[in-house]
Amino acid sequence: MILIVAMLIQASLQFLPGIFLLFHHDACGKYGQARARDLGAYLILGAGTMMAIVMTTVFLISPDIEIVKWGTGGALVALSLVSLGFYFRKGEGTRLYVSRRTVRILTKRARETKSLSDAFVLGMVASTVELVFLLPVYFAVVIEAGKFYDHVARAGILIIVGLAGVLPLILESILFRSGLNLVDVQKIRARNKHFCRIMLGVCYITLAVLVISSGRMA
Amino acid sequence: MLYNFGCVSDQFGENGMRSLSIRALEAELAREAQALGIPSGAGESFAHLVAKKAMRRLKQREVVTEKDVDMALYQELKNYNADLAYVYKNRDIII
Repeated sequence: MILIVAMLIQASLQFLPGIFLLFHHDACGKYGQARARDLGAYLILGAGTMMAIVMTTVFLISPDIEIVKWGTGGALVALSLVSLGFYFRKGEGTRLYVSRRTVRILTKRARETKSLSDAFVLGMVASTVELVFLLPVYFAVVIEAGKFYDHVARAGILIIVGLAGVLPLILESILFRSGLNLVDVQKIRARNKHFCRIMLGVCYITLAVLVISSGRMA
Repeated sequence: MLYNFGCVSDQFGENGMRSLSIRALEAELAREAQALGIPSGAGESFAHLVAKKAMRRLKQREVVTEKDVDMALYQELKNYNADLAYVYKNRDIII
């Protein structure tokens, strides 16, 4: 259950999909569909790599003590309130909590990206912006994975949950391939932003309860 | 980012401003049209007209910002292509 909720949270975060959307649109305008697809694939690969690195680091540094569980639970409750209140800015569109300066820098980089390695690095950098929202989730996943003694099972859990983070990007890529453009995808995002916000809030609080109560049930 | 009216160039000048011209706007509109999958012929047919009208609108201002350019293009594009107009209106509020 913890893993499913963690995957739902990862799939509901909106910063990376926003960057990917702008990046793919600009790349299409400059280089055409085929090149944009290649660049997009490398951005997804970069984001996935960064998530894998962070999750592995959390797995390696996370000590098996009770206070980690309580700390993670507390952080998840705080994130639930933050995501309900401040994740999306007020007004039209899907503007996020991220500072305007960060957004300007990353969108500028997205517009100027030419090579596959640039796209890969952009994916890595962009995925670090939402680490505040992801780290407690990773700790929750690691706590859950720690219950399995089989290393293959542990690695499998981490990989599957990590993949959920790039799922929205893969979905957007499929939508672009099926003929939709930035306008269509952005309209879908704007229409569902309140659903996303509530989904995040509910999932964070659910995950907090599950993490805190996980030891007692075992 | 501030703009001044000048030759066709994407480079920043010594004063940190960017040159703005009808041809630069046309090129940008063509790029955006291609990104949205609008056929190049259709894009080119209104790009020049829109760029010219937007430029006329912008020349009434003493200082032109990136947002001003986007809004001027949005105002003109509304009559030609709704999707392209949507891009210019919403570019800053996607993330």
